[in-house]
Amino acid sequence: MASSEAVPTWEQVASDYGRTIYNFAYRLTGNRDDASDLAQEVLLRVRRGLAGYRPGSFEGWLWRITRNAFLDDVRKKQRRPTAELPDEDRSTIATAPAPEEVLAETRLSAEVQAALLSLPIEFREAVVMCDVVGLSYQEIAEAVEVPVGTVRSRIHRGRLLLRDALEGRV
Amino acid sequence: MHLGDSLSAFLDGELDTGARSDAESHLASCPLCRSELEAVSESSRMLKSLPVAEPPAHLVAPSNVRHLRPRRGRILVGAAAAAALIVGVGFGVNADRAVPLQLDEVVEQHVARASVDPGFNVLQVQAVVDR
Amino acid sequence: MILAVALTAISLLGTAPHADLVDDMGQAGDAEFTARQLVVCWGDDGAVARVSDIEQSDGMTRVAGPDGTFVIGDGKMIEQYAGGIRYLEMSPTSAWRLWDGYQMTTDPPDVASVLSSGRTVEVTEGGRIRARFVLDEQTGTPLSTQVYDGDGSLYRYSVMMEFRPGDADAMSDMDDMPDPEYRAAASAIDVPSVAGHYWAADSYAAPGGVQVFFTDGLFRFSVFEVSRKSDGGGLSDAPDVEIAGQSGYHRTYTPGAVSVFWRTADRAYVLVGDLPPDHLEAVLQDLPEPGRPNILKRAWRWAFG
Ligand SMILES: [Zn+2]
Repeated sequence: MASSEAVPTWEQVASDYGRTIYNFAYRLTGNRDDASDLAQEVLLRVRRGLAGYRPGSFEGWLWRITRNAFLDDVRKKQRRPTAELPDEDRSTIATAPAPEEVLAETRLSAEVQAALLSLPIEFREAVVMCDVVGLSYQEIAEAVEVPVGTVRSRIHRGRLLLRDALEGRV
Repeated sequence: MHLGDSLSAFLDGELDTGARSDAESHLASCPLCRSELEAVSESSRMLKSLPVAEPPAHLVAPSNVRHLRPRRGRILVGAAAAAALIVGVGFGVNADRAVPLQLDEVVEQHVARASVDPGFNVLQVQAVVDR
Repeated sequence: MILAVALTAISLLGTAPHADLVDDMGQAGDAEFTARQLVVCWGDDGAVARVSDIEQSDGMTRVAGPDGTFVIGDGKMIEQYAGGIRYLEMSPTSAWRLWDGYQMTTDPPDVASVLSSGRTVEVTEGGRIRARFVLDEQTGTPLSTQVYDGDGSLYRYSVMMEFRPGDADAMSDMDDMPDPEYRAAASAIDVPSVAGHYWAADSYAAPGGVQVFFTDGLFRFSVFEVSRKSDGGGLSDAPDVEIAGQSGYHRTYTPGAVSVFWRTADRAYVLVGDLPPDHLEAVLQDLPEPGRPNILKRAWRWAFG
């Protein structure tokens, strides 16, 4: 959108996208500490890369960096995704007024997270970029460096796989 | 020919006008594609309703903790809606008579009135169910 | 399905007097069916979709949702949730009518019905498509509904994925009904009686303020006038958007409705309804506009009323 016009400063990127990058990382890794490290790494790479960045599709550029940082990390650690009960869900339990409802909701989101982690990486990142981050197919294609048609099929198959994974769990 | 991955593109508004109306016609006559659309829309809905994880302070400037991504901004709307369900804050027109306004009550009252109208339909009920 | 009936009946308008029309609508509104329905709405933030199981009998429609079960119809809204049953009832006196800016065509020759059985009704406005309904031949229930924005793009789409006429009980499990809460008539302060081509049919007391109900016979919305201190039940956290060149609106979509919250100099407003985006734009231009509090004006009002 408007981001294709000018080169943003690093502070702008951090403040505008920090939260979204963190959530992207969190849903891909299923782990708060990993998400925090990853988001930190992305912001570092953005800071290094901004000097060489030319106005174009900023979203595509940013998410390409984010996604590559994630893949590098996976390769480095040979990560085995963990499906722990997310921290922020615990804090919800502590403060919310209607325990049964919140618990049900928490269990559901933990199940969705676990199902998400069972998907192969290319499907997982496609559905997270689409449904959690809210990127368009074009933006995802630029980030992942594949044709839009491939993005479309990964999103669709990813959602079907997610459904299967959730049904297996229930 | 079934719609296959066009179904997700249809759901995400990623089809052009021609392809969209083709998809609609096909959907209207093909139960297989309808149930597949149902499956992917359910997955998508669940991902969209995942709670927003709060990043550590050093990753986000405090003034931007409430930042909403402009294009789709789904994550935070969900959080806001959840917050609204937990605490309904607000006051009556008479500020001294503090009556909380809750979005679900507002929607319910609208739909209750609308249901008297002969134009009432199930879409109105959807507004309540999916507030 | 009363809407379907309305449209069916309207398409017969040339031959039936108005009183018969209303009678017909009342009769066919009692259609019994169970169904599974998909609703997709394309708001400015992308699509929102929902699949629900629906049951209709005796003019009441039951839909099970994530927060509980709702039975709605004939001015009654019964919500069954973990904590019990909430029962709201409204009995307006204003008669339904359809805006004369709509034209109806039954089975338009250039539109092939996409469903094997059913009659297509097309609603146009100024020569442009506004809505298309495919109605079940027997019960008049809309098997498919399409609502279009002013630029001809699809705004909302619904389809009955399974539809079984007959044998429904919308009121099952509703045994221990509490007494209904009624809503008394009330007047808003700054809400006009006409907005866009919609007219204010009636208005009621509401939690925290006043509800003004607008309709054009096909779509409808309510404007809730509340205290400026209200956060619109959390809507003030929704994205801040510009509508018709005016900023300060917070808007969210569900498959069935759009909600908008804004604050004016003196009050706050929540608009909820199923109207399409171009209608919403026109409507908002006629309602009090977003603004900051005017301290002097408030002081004046406080001092002199
Ligand atoms: Zn098919």
